[in-house]
Amino acid sequence: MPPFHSIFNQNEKEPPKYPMACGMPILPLRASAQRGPAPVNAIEQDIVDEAINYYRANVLFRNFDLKGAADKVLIYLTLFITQALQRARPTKQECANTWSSLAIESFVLPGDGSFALAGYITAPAQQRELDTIRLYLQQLRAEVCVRLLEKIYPAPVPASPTSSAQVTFPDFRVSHPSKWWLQFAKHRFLNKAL
Amino acid sequence: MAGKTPIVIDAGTGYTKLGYAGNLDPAHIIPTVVATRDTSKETTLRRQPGLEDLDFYVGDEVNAHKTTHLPMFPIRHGQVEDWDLMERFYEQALFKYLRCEPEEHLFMMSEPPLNTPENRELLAEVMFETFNVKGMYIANQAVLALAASSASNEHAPRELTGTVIDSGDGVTRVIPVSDGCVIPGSIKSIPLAGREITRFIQEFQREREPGVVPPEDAMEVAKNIKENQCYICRDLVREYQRYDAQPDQYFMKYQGQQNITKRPYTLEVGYERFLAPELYFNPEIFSTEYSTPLPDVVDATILSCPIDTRRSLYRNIVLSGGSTLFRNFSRRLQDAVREKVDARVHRNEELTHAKVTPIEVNVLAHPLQKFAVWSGGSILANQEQFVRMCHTKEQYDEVGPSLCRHNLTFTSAC
Repeated sequence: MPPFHSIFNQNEKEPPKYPMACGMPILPLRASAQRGPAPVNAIEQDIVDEAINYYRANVLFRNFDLKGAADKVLIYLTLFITQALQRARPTKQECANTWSSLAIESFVLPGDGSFALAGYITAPAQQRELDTIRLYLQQLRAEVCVRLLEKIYPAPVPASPTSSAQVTFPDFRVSHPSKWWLQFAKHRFLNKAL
Repeated sequence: MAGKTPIVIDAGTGYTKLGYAGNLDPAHIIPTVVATRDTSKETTLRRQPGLEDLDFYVGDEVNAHKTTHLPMFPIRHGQVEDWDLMERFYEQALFKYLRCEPEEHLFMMSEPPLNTPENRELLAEVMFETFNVKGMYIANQAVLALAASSASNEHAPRELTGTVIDSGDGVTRVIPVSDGCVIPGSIKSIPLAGREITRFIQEFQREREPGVVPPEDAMEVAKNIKENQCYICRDLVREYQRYDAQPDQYFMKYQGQQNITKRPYTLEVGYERFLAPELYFNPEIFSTEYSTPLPDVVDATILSCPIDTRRSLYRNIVLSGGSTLFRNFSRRLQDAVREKVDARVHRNEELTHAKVTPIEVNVLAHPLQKFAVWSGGSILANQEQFVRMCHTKEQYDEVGPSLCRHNLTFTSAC
């Protein structure tokens, strides 16, 4: 079982279904905290959900064969989740603040010399494309932060009736970031970091 | 059967299994290690002349004499490297552990898949000349593993044809066997096995909660978790979601106690339960150098065998060794190999427009998997024909060690 790929990948020969920027498709989101180039559609699972769901499996891999353009977005988001997890704070409120600034702070863009994914994501051709990609990535980053926050500080899970009542593991009721997520921040996906 | 029960010995890199034919389990499982007096550490005064030859320990006793004696391993990578040590080891194994009279028993010895005829001669010398055994047969480990599967599983074919996947502590081997003969050119090995799994569990836990397990126990704890709590999953992402949905059913606890201070500690066991055995299916997670998954290696091994054996090799893929004991191992391996084979058959049909008889792929798990080699030896040595297949002491005296270069082959397990 190789790493997991995005369902938004499409055959290279067909005309692209989504508008492109820097070789990445601008995919619709099911919800967006911030306005940007990506449209908000009523779809069940979008690229941000995929990135978060596949994260704990994909981050362990050292190689990733692209199966389509949407995989580039997936790679970018996987690396961003690692970065976000590295900056997680002890309480949910603190973490929300740190992450909201992480999402909008100035970050390295494709085309820049120090951009980690230069081999995957091409440099923008003109100023307009650069603006689009900045807004698109910013929108994705903000959305990852919002959804990931709910994952790593999950709501308390009611103990299932079958289990013995004494101890439930892990105890999610305390407001700590889940160590079951944070441990993955130490893995270097594709041996790269944003 | 005339005479006394034959003795079965399977000498492995880590452990040697000893016992009497016809039993289900070996009578003794002892580490293959010999400790001799460490001469660099002592003065000449304390040495008693004439007794150096008797001053050694084997197996579990070695640990107690580590200060004065130097542990040495006579077997490396399955092959015996030091026959002098091995002779001492067998001496203790026979007289101290089994307490038998070697002159009265027939012996079933195991050898690794690519053993040299010279090694067989050396083994014959040790057994016939030092221990004066009544008779001896040398069997290939892969053949014995097949015999164990075939005798303990009613669905397995009776003839000794199949692919053996042998995964112990150090190395994983895929060995094709046809009618009791190993196909030597097609053996493939993967440098990853049980030890890597233990190391992964240890590292994964240290990443999550450094300092919970005392460092001197870390290896032992990881080994216990590997043996008792790990299993193979179908799909990584779905398994993660299962853990998210019902944490109290999937996350487990491990309770340990520090050896010296007796301080108890509790460790949570989570994703490593299904990630660690992924070694066989996604070796990329574990190693930078090696990235071919086990199903691909199995497929390539069978494809490199003579064409008339391939169908029967696919039909009978047999597991052997402690690291193949993970729950669902056989099912996942079977699905993965079958998928590859079906895809190839389908493509073939598309290109040639000819109908191909579907290829049957079976991976068989069986109850004797853990000591498959020893158990197989026990089953074969218990047969009527075993007496006829052994090389006897009289033949040895007539011909010499070269007698044991070749051994007759068993063709069926029952």
